Amino acid sequence: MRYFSKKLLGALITLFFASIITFYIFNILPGDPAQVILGIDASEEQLMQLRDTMNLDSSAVYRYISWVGDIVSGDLGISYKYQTQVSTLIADSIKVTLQLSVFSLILTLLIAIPFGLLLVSKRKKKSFIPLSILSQLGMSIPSFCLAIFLIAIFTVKLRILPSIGYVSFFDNPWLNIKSLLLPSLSIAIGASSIVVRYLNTSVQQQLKKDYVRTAYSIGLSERVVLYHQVLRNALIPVITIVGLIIADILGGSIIVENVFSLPGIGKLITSSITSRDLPLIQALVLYLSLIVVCVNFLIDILYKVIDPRIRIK
Amino acid sequence: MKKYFKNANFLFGFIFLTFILLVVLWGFIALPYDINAVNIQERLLPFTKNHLLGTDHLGRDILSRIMVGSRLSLTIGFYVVVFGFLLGTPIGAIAGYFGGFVDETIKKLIDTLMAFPGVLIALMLIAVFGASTKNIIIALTIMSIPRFSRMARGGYYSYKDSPFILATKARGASNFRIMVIHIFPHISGELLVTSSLTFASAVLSEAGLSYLGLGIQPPNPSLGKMVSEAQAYILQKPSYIIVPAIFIIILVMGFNLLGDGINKVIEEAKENE
Repeated sequence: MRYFSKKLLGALITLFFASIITFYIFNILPGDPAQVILGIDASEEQLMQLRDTMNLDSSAVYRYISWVGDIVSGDLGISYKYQTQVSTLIADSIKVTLQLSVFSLILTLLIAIPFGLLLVSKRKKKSFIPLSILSQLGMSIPSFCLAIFLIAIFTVKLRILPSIGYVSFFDNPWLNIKSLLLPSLSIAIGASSIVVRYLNTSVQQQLKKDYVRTAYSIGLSERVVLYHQVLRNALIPVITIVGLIIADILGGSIIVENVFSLPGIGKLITSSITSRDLPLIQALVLYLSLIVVCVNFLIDILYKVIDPRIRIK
Repeated sequence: MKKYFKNANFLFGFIFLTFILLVVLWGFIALPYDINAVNIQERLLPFTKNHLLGTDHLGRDILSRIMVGSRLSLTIGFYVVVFGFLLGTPIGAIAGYFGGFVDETIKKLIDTLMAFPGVLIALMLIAVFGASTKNIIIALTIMSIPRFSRMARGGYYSYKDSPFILATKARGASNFRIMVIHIFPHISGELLVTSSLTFASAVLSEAGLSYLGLGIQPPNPSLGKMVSEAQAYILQKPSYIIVPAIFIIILVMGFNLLGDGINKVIEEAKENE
């Protein structure tokens, strides 16, 4: 219970800092923020109205508190560009991004675990070096390049998967899965290389421990030692990396959604940067960091459930 | 130095980066064409004697644009690593060495920066201040600070109570002196590894931002922007997109492999002690 409350407090503090950073960055605009947002052509009346809605005349602390209050109550104001409630825009796009992230995470684990095991089992053989270079390659290819190459292969040449257009799962589940397959694969290949690397390091560390030497000395085969004993211990730290991977996947989806024109958070962010829709970006940034903090908190809890030996240091 | 070149990762990384440096140097000494010279009659040329890597959709020489684009990627990566190192390392060192409340606060701040996924911090800053090379460097530097801080924090934390440090303390050395002269050399190797990996991720992020049109702005060429421009011509002329993509991959992979190689050599040296 102490572990739980300590982690919860930590997550809340992180969120608090994140909200301050997000709030502050959008408030250090040089000059009159209303003028900067609306541009030089704005009329005095429009400026007054925006200054009023942004509470520019009150203190920064007051504005921060009322902004957080608005966000908690779900009232995020109205987007300049779309002229609709920011909350509806976010609700629509977050569904796409979350589905894409879940798909990418599943694919990441489906690729990373078999490949990681292969890499570990070949660690003393000659084929280890090309395999590890391959995992380095996966980490070094930008997701957008990978996405374009995948489109060239699967859409243009083989004509089996669509490259554009998103279909909701409830309208047509099969098309929905097909339309998300290439985007999630472009994210998953990079993310799985990181997991593979981490798994490999984790196994190497376990192999140096005394229990492994004992296991070998009583005559257990390489196979038994590796899969029955080492792997169990090595997989526990790998769970923590899932938290890091989630951040990576969300970050990757910002770029990949733009390649495939998926109507998710990433697409919304980049289009609102071009149209200088600052309140919308501010809310989106905070929501994405909220997701990362929540997932990390859940993983901390899961970690404790799986391995009760973990204590607060 | 010999033991570094025996490591396959280091060797490959070294070869990749030498290749990039040679290309950049060649462009520095003798740039084949003006990077913005448009020539519609010679658009989308294949690899020819006059245009070694062909021309793009406006007839600009791809090799020249690659040379300058790679140079910009390297420059941005260099600044990001230097500033990230200079800002991140002291923060991490103070947290790890002094511990307690300072450590807790700095740790939470680092966690906060890590809670913004991927290029989100950069996007946020670009949204406010606009896209320019200077702003990219600032944004990517902020993203790189947690990497250096975490590394330095771990290093200083593990050394601060070791016998040789306690002995130095007993002799009356100041905290500053201990941190700079006595502990820093022990973790400089690890920080070099972090620098190399940060360089790789800075190049990757810059390419991503430029691909979105939010990175390096025209008339400056950038590898990421070249990929996005070439996208429409992928069937007509596949080499147009493949060439800049390969240069990004070689650059990123070069620094990743180099960092990995140095890391392995350091670890092996520690085990042999």
